[in-house]
Amino acid sequence: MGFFSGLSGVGGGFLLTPLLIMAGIPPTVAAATDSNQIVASATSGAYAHYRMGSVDFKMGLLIFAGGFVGSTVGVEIIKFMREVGEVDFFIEVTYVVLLGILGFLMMADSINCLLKKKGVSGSIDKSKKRSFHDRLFQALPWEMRFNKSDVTLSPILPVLAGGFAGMVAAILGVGGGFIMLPTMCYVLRMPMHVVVGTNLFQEVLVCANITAMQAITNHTVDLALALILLSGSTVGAQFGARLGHKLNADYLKLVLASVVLLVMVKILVELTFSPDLMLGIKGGR
Amino acid sequence: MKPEKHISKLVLCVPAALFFLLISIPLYAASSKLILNPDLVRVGALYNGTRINLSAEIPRECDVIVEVMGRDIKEAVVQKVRRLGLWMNGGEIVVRGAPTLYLALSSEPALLTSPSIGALWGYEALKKRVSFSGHIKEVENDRIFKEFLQLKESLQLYGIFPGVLKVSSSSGNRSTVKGSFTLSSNATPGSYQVFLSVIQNGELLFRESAPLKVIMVGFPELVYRMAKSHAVAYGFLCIMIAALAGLVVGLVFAKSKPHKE
Repeated sequence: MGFFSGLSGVGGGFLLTPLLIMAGIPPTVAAATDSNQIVASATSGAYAHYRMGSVDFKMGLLIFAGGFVGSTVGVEIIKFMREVGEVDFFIEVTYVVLLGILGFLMMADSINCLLKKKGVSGSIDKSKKRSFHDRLFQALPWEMRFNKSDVTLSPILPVLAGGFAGMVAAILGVGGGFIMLPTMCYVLRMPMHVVVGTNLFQEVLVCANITAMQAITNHTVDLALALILLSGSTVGAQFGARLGHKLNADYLKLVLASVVLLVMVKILVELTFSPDLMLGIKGGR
Repeated sequence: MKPEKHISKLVLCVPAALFFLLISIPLYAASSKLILNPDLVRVGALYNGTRINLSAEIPRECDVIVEVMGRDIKEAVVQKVRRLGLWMNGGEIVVRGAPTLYLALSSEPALLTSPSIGALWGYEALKKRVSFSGHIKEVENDRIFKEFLQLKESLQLYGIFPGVLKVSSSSGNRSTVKGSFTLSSNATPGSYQVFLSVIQNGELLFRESAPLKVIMVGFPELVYRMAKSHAVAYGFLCIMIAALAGLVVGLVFAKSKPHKE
């Protein structure tokens, strides 16, 4: 999974947790343990970006401030859903929705890029978006300067974005990169060279908070499983990243989008067709 | 002392000794030493269930049933219901009297498969002790019991294995019974009992048991103890290990990365 993540350039959390669920790991344990292993892979990546000087710590800390609150709320949601007895269903349905959206967006994006390269124009009118952004930026109070990212904006935006990503990360056991990366690019207008490093930096902090919260509140972090996952993902990500430079990124994205959609369909089929077992243990195993 | 007294004592002792000999023969015949190997299961980092061998000596012309049982617990299960086209958890059912583990093995298959005889052992016997309450109607008991068995069998915590025990002739009027069962990795650490029931002509001759212990050792034991008793410390340990592992891998690969001029 780490190899695949490094190869494609996106975080593997959103795919690893459903794969663990499919392998028989209870969804709550899969999500919590995946958060723990993301701390390792994100630390490894963030350190590499720190060495290259591409981490905006000020922005990362603001995103984490929101992420801290969001992830704490997410862990409490999991606790509540566990008590109600619907936690597995809730996680699986959230995955179907998010993987569906993400898979289609990734596939559309990669097809669009491939078509562009072949000369088919895909004109996007950005003027409207820009003006909306400008109005939004000006309307929000307490503007701050972020030298590393070369942007001036209100801290409310990164805090809100971090809060939402943190909540989703806690529920699904993901780093939240698939929410934060486009948000940083298109909403916060950060330059691409600091986006990845800053996202990895905030992922380390948010996932560390989720790991602590899950361990204390739900007792669902399996350290033995996390060790196996992180040993594979950290090393695999490095090899994957090296191989990724040699391969066509758009084709890779297309393959990843297909895998994401396949996993989504698999979960959806399980939710739709009659289950083998008509009884389940309350609160999961 | 007069010789008559000696004789009278001897006369009393000999019948007494004979009496004890007579009653000890059937007692010996109706006993068996159930041996489990291993009788202590250590759950380590690489534990993935284990095979347990059992052997016992029983009287000739007898059949055997072995039951591996955990303690009775009260547990909550949920029924799957379909809403808006999706299967989700529905009403809660409380199960009482069901053991955490139940495996039944027999020498004669009919002992566990024939309902009339099997009512004393196996799932039929289990059905008598298990009760359901909550979101369930009286008429649904049989269906829920079947589904409960399916759930437990899927976790390899329940199982019926007719005819897997092998009985072979041994010395005198004794036979040796041998067999084995797999203790699933889903069986939680704790104390279990292995019951050996010796059956002659469909009647229970005697029953005896041997303890089977499952304990956590090494890394899993440390992790489990920390996770339950010191959750805060455990959470921080998980974070520290992950962060350090990430940093070490990052450092190693940063050094090995070839420089591009």
